[in-house]
Amino acid sequence: MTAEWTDWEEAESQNRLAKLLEIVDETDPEKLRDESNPHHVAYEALEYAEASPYAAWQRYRHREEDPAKFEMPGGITFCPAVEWGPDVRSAADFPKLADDDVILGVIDSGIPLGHSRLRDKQGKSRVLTAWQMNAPSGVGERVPLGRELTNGKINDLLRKHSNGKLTDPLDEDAFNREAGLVDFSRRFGHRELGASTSHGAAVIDIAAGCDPHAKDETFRESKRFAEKTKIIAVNLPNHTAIGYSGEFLDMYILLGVKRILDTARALWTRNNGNAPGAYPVVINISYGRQAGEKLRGKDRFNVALTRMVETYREITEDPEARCGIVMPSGNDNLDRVHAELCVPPRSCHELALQVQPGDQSSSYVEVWTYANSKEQLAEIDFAVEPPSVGRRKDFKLREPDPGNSEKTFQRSLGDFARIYTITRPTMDTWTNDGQPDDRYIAGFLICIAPTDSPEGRTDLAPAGPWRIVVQNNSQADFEVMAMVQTEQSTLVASEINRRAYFDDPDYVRYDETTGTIADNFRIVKALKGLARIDAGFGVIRRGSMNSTAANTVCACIAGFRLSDGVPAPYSSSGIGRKVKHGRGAPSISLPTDYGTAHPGVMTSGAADGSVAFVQGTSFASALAARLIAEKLITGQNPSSGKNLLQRDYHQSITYTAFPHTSNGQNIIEKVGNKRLPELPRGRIERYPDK
Amino acid sequence: MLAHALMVSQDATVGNWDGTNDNIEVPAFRVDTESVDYLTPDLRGIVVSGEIISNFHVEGGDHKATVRLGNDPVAVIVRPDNKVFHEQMAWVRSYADLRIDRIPEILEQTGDIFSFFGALAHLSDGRRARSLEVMEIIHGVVVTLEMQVKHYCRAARPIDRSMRVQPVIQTPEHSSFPSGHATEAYALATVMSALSGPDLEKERGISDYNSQFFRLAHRIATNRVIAGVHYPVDSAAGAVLGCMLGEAIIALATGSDAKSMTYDVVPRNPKKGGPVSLNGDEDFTVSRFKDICDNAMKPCKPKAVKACPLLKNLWNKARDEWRPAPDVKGKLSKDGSK
Repeated sequence: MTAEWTDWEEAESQNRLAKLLEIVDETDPEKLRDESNPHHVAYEALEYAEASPYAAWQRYRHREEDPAKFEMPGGITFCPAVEWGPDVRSAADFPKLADDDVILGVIDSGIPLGHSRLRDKQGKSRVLTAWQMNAPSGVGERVPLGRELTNGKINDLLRKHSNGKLTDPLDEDAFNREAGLVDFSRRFGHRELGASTSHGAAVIDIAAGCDPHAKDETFRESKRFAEKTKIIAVNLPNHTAIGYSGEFLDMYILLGVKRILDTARALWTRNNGNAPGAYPVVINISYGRQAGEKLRGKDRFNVALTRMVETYREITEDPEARCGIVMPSGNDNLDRVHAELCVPPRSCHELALQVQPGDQSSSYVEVWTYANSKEQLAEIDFAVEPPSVGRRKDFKLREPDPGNSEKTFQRSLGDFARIYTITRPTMDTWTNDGQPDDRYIAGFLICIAPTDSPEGRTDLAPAGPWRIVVQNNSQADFEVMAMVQTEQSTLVASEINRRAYFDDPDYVRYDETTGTIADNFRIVKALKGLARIDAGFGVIRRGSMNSTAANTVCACIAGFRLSDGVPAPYSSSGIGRKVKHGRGAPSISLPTDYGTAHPGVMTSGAADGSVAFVQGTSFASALAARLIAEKLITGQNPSSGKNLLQRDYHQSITYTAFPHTSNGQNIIEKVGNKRLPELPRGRIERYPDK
Repeated sequence: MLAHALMVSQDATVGNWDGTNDNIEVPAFRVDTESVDYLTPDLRGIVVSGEIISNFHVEGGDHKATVRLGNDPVAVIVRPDNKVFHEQMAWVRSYADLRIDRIPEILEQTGDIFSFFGALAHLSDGRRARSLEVMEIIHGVVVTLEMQVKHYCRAARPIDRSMRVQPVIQTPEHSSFPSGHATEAYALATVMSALSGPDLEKERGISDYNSQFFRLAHRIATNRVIAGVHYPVDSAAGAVLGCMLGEAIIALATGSDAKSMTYDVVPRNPKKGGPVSLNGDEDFTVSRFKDICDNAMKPCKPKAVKACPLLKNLWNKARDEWRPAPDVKGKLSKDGSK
């Protein structure tokens, strides 16, 4: 193999934005930035996709795309010319809302609109709208991809497939197919609800499911919750469209959040005219990506999300109030995908990245650097070296270029690897551990092609130990964070998307005293306390948390075992330091396992009435969204969802077996501020009245 | 070992026997034309199967098979052309995504679909021995007939069209079209809904194709597509064949009318009834099958049918197993109280 790294050059663009200007007959791109422009959302989404180096690499890898048609991966057709605003004029399409009703948004995949726990006693759906992003676009749709079902349309379909009567048994398969929830007719149609479990079914049941015939308050799912909580569902596109590493996830999530908030706003205006106020909104997003800039909250996604939430809050004229986003901390804690380096002066550190054989999708590593000064950064050399190629070539991050501050630059190694700048060196001030900190921050993204291809591709990357080298020629320590991006298969048992990992001989995988999988901490019974397992630097668990939740507007939920309070080993952890705009730890923890013999929690399976055990912080996140909604409908506490969970939710217990703080160790990086012993509602547990 | 012991025992206990008869009354063995209860279930099955199958005749050729009850066709199955199977491969690909979820069912159903029907209603030697027996007999008859239909309609399996199908079970050597599993499952669903349903009148009504029996049959058929050994169109034709065979055997057992249906690729005039076969781009669903039945099913009064007294006797005993026990007074309410 004789591939050579090229010099930095500007990343290519498909120039979709220019095409959009043609389509909507607009000459001034600034006009599309105006929120009153009916095409502004399409513009923002495409601009977002254009600017992402992940998307740039994907475009490069998937040359069959036709930019003129705005074909996105996964068979998704993006139609930017549609007008965006939700049409809420028809009384038949929307049920009546009281001013204090709470809107619960759920962004997920495989959301089952026919489930009885999402319907009321008369059989009517509690879902206000459901955006089916993966469905073929219909005529007159006001969304740029897929189609949107209103409450009236959902009820019509329910009635049609229940012999004309909403309370009769539903032909769920026929309903799912017509509603676009299950689609075997297309290569990239949704299939989750054809299987026994579905992520979206599990999540929405925990977040919003209620027995429509609950007679009393014995079950914690009160009738009042069902009556006062209205659901807006966003069914994300198929996994291929989102990307195995979530290459386009951010774009689709932001579109979903925007739709939920705009619909809530439109309904308020319809019902109340110009009267101040807005419906309280809680949105659960049980998705995320591991790699990203987690300290400053200033990456493109977090800035966009924060702006959307703040805009909604402005309507309420209460900066703290009534709009909460909830996300999981992630399940990557044990995957060896996070490293923190502190390279001493005049020394070199090598990080081994094992790129796995048999991997049919790209691997990504984000590297974020924190220099004390511009001068220090100039004295740092980086290198990325493939195995057995012997073609190491050092490089420096590009100097700031005022004329091209928004552009992304790339270096290529033949056809099989590229490095993109995510953020070129800029000085930033943020608060780290409570202290103001001025740093020169820069990030780059290493993209590595698949190592295997059933289609006989010739541009495959070599599997094995790649090396990321940081040479510090300066006189001071130099800090680096490196993260392997999330990589998931489309199907549960598929092994063709194999995530790379950092290979460090000092990483402790198993607890030497118990033989069990090692977490950040171990219990030391003799000391009745905890001992840290993670080293200070190197490949560590600490910091593996979902980067999508690295902002101040959302609550981030970790998982623990209900029986003894032990944090779930897989539950990702924060860096454990206070950061002002990003995130240093989860907000709180909720149970993700009943006990050692009973992993997971119980919720709904794919078919109505079926039950599934599911494990992971996605489901803790869904429960947190429900807890916030439960509090909001009481009207007792109007503060934001995150604050409500951290400060105002008093139901916490002390776990003696695994204390929160002991012997100077604090497990806040794993579990956040508290562990709440709450469980999904209405499946097995029958609670006494309190 | 037992033979040796019996020989020694006989030698020790008989003494000198010159072959004369003892004074034991010899049974008369009067022939009972309505019952073979003296036989073990396995042998009863062989006799009753012979009685049933003597009423059927399968003829075919040129990718078409006709199953006659007496002189009358009860099922006509016409194989689609290659283009339809070619297009149906897209469904095979899509359904493959559910393999990890369905593997336990797929594997179990390669040799046993009865356990799944037994999960709908109690079928066991203790509780409903005769029902189980009659269903096993009918299953055997259906397999015999379906294999002949497959022979005349022989079609390539998905594995013959692409090496990328890679089924999760071994592909059978017989024809893909129609699906044997669909035929058997729909025949059993038809029989079981008749056994458990209200008393049959002269004209049996149309089965509820949305009932649990038929939903299970649909799932069993679909599992074979997921496994990668069938196309949805195989399931559709198998469902038609299975229901019609079930109805025909019920007619033999009860004297009710049979039904007839044609699975044909010839487009119909919509005014005279909608399409009765799947296009290449169509999936086999519960509701689509109901459409096919609504459009294509006709009553059939078969002529030249030989009586089946043994089947009738067995059927009536099986029916009795589904009636409430005589000592139960009144019905239970939905919540279980009297």
